[in-house]
Amino acid sequence: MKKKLHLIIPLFVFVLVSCVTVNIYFPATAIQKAADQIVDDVRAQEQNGEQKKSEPKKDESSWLKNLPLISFGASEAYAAVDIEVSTPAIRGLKDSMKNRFLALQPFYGKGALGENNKGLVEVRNADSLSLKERADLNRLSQQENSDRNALYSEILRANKLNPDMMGQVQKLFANSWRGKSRQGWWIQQDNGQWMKK
Amino acid sequence: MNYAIPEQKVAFNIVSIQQPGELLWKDYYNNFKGQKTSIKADGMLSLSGDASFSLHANLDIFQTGDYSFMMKGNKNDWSLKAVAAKVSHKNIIEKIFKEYLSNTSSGLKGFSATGYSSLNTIIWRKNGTTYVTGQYTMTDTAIHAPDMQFSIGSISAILPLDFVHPSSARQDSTAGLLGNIRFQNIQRKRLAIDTVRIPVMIAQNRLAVPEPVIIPFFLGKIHIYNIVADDLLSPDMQLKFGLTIENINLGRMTKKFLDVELPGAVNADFGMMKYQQNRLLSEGTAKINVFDGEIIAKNFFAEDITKPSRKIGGDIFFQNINLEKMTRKIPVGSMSGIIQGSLQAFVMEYGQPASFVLEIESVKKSGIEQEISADAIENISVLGTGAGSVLSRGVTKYFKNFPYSKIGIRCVLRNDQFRINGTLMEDGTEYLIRRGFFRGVDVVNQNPENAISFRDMVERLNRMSKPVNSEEIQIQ
Repeated sequence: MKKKLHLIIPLFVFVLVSCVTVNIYFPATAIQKAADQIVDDVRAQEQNGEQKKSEPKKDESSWLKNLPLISFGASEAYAAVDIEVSTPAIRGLKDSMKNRFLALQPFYGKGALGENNKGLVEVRNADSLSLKERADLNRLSQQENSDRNALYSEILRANKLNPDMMGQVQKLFANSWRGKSRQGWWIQQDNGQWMKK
Repeated sequence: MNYAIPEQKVAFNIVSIQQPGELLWKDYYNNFKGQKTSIKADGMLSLSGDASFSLHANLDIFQTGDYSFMMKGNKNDWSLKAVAAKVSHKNIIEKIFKEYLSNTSSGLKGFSATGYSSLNTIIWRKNGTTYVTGQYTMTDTAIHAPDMQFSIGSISAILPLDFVHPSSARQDSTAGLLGNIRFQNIQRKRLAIDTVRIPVMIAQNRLAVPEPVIIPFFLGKIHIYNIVADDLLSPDMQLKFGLTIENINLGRMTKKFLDVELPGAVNADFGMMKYQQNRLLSEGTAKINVFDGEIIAKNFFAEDITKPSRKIGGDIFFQNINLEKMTRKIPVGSMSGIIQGSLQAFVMEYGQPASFVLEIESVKKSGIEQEISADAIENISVLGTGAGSVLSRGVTKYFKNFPYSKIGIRCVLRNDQFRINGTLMEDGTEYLIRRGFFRGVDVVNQNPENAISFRDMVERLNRMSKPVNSEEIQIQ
């Protein structure tokens, strides 16, 4: 009986662990890929210009490599799922952000605007700006964040993901916005510290 | 300034002229350089007891109008009488809001207004409740937003004010105060409306329109009745109104807006419409008589109407539509017969269709031929497969029309995926069009699971009625 228990217990534990760990509920890889694609589309003018010279094409989302894509135990395993990123709302929001990007670009360059770790833009140091420029910056950053929040919500909605996953979507998009930022732009690291890229 | 020690009262008299420069408040910016504001004020403040005060002031704000106010009371209960006279809309826009408006919305670039406003109001606070009464008057006003292709030739308004904050302090028994708004020559793109007069009654945060508003529209009429906006000061403000449409000439309307004349009439009883938290809902139906048949629209809704993200939708059912008459006006290739069907779960976002389920089937009717032209088959083929048919080859090229016995088509757009299927199943084959008894064309869907992206669907729609050279559909 004791011998049988020795066999049964590890088998039971194995089955239990297997059941718990294979849990397809948040398609992080697919969303990260979608985020990269969307950020590329939004900043298309930049890629067509001189910018891309200094940056490697591969591994643009430098935070992606740190994601726990496959793990054991109680953490999640992500499935390769296609993510829907082309609904009228997403196309409309992308176009709106694309049109705004040219106006935002100088503010990134002057260090007045940065990419935070929640997938949003944040006003940094506006001291060097004129009052008119500050008004423009306030308005543009407000509009940009409104569009970005709407985009993340729409991605959740279009893919029937739980609204509680907003934080995870924001984090993945933050990876892309920061990873695809130019050198010299301000980005906020995961620990909250700001740094010049 | 005088200070009386025994009463602990300060009496003051101030005259101040300012020449402001740049102003930034959140995202509002304006450069007021070269403009002047001034204030002349006198009053009294008691530094003891209940801190009673009185203040009288005249203001000149960038020469936009004559402003004055008189305020008295103590820290708990006070009253303010404010008068704004001959406030020039032109000066307000040009000196204060022009740049802000054009930055906020591209459509408001170049926005201009003429005319004057006046406001005479008394605001008082008693026992923790604030009351506002008075009257707002607008005269000789015209507005023009060229980038939105919108203008109103004349606006005049007399609006009584009767508000209470918080709303819980309202007294429902209060009789309403009457006013009115009159618009003339409203133009928005190709739409033109001559005159709209709206009588209003305002009582304790509630606005009601006591008479129906009738808008003449393409030889018919739009009636808006029982308009009530409740709790005007609350973000949960609710607007309710009834809407009926009577005999609008569809031909003239479609000619004006679409450059295609679709003869018919529009009649609708939308029932009571409710607008709350940016969402407009209808309880009723609209009926459009067109092409000898009837189109019925139900469950209409609209969200965020003023934003680019606006979402509109509803369900549409149609019956007895004469295909011959329809295809004479809509260039999809000529067909004859009668169809019925529905367009359900239709949603449009950002000006693009986001989802729908379209079902069309033919209905046999004695005395009506059922024929489909080669052009129409070509177009269905393009939409379904992305390529044309083989009708231009072989013996079929000598026929321009083919008889059919049944049409059954279902198109679905969902999650940006478009799918077209036949609803006629025979021996495991899916048909979109079934041939006539002696001759004709069967249109078969050989790949029922095929779905294309919205972008491809649009591209195929654009290609419809254009020559294509490929063969994909199966002709039997």
